[in-house]
Amino acid sequence: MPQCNVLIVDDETQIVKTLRLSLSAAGHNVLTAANAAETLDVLRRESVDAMILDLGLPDRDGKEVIAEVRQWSDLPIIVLSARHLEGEKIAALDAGASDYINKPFSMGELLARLRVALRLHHRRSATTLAYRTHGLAIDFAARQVVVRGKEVHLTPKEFDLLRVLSQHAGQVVTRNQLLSFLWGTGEGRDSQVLRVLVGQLRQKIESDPRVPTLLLTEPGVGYRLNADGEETD
Amino acid sequence: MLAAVPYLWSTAAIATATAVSWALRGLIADESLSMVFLSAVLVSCVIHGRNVGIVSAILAFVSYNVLFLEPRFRFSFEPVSDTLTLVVFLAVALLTGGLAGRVRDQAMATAARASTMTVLFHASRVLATSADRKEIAAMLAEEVARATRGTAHVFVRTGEGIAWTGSAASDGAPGETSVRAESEPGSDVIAFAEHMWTRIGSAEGGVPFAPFHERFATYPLGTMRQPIGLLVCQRSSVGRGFALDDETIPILCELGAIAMERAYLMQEMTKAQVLAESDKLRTALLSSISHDFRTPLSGILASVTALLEQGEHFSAQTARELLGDIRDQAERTNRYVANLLDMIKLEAGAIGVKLEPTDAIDIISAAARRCKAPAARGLTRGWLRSIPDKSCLVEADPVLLEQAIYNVLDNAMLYSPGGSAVEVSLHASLHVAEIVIVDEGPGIPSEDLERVFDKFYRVSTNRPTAQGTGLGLSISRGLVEAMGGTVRATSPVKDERGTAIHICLKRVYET
Repeated sequence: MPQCNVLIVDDETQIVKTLRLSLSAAGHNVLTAANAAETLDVLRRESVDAMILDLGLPDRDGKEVIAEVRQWSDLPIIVLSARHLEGEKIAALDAGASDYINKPFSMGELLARLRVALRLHHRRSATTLAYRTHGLAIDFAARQVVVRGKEVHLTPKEFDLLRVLSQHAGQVVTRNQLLSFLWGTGEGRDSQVLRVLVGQLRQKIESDPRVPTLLLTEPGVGYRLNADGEETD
Repeated sequence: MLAAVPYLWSTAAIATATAVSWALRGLIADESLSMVFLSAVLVSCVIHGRNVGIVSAILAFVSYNVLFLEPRFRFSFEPVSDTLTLVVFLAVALLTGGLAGRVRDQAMATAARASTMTVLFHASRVLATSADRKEIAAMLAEEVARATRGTAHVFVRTGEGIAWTGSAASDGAPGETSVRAESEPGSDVIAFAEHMWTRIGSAEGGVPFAPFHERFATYPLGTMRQPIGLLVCQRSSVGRGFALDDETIPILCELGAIAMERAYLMQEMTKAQVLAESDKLRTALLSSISHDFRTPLSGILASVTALLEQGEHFSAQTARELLGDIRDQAERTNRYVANLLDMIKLEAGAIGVKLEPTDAIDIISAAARRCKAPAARGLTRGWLRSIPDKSCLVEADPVLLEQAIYNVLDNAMLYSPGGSAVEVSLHASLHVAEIVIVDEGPGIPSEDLERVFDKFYRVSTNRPTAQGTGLGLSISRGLVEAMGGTVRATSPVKDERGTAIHICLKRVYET
């Protein structure tokens, strides 16, 4: 992974300090901001590759910051949030955050999420033709899916679901985002349809659909395709 | 017209006597026939009292005179003998009537007493069934309405004034079903009650309380200490129960007042108990906070200062161990804070529950995944062995259900001996899905099976440090109950060991 400019936004100096140490040790160039105004300022001045954002900022709602940044930038944004604030997380993700991590977090987990976000961001500019992880191989052009060496046949909706999740492999995709991608609009649509579709897809790609290891549920938020040990062409 | 019935009855009796005498005429002397008439008069008197008796005596005399004395079929009055006959008839009527009347009055008085007793007994039994003042007020109104066959309103003291609490009205017919509860009375009744209440207030020190008014009668509701309310009876136009100034109503009022006083005292007692309970909780909370925060924090401080001050003497492995300890202790503190937060939110009713059809298996595996997450690895000793294989939709909030299952799993793993398994299974019936989490830990004594869901309860263990917060299961139960489900514990599971926690939720089906 080449050296990246990572912006840390948090008003908690202790956390910022620790993150700075860890991210620098991981080879990143660290920028910091303590509030929304500073954040937007830094983003305009510097070339930032990724942002780690605490939702609880002193001057503005973190979700507003995300929405504003998204008007002119698609840089990866990882949100830090407390476990019990599900609604906040979903709103941040729907506003355009790339992923979230529950506070308190382990540094290893945060670095892994950051790696995934940076990799996905870099790859998005190039056209990806295939995806491979954990015995799952997808050929996007041929709409072909091979699971543990055996080709499986997916319905168009199942394939679309798998494609969205694999394009964000390792990141959570909210139920609203999936619904609007698969059925045009997430508004008013019953998320049960999605749950059923996920169940069908698990039957075809998981070795044990009861204990999914590929297509993981984030209760109340959405779904995540497990990308640990991912290899791409 | 009912009043005429006894007179018709006695006329019929005299007519019968006349017919009998007519049949006996010729067999016995005409003078003796007067005995037959006398019997009829006697019977009328005994049954219907003096007035009816006098009327029948006169009727009997006229019939006897016209039909059986010469000249026949014509009324004639011979001063001596006829006066004697009339006097005898009337004397019999008066004497018998007086005696019979007294007996009848006594019988009626006895019946009235019996009915008063029945009313009072019924009232005291009914009033004893409730511990709620409003309910008692309504019951009292009903009892009084039934007894008076009128309308009754009960007002209860609130601070300085009084407030309407219950009303009932009788439709005038006797019996249980004739009384119905009434809505708030008209402003005239309320104004009258308020007026009377001020008079009770100023009538301290034995000033007689004048309760009557042309349409209403008032009775104070009070115990020995002070008046606690007011009863207003509205005279009824139909029916007739107890007279309004009867002693029964004051007794009913006293019964009602005693019942209300008792309800009030019980309420106070419950309040005191709740206070004592929350006091106990506060004490438990304090001791728990001081223990559960300080223990891991002192561990962290000790390890950190050791690393800072003597770090250069430690081998790389020792340093790693100390760092691992710091992580574990920090994790423990974090778990405790999370639990406390959940607990406080539950207690404050601040948990927003969004019920939706949720795949139980999906949530179980998410919770199990969190249990195995690297950050928690330092604390878990058991491991998760099986996941049920039936798909099943339950009505739940996925986030809360995940937390509830996680707490139970986490607890099961904490109390499991190293390497032993925690098993999860799912049993579904038509309407209910039951998630069962079984560990191979020491189990819970049967008398403590309910107490494990109490806040800050920890099963005594010979392990040097209990890692649980004593809140996990309590929170799980709170969360599941907020979703309309139930949680219970059973133990032992097998070989005198193990605990099973059962989470039951309502099943839903694909629509």
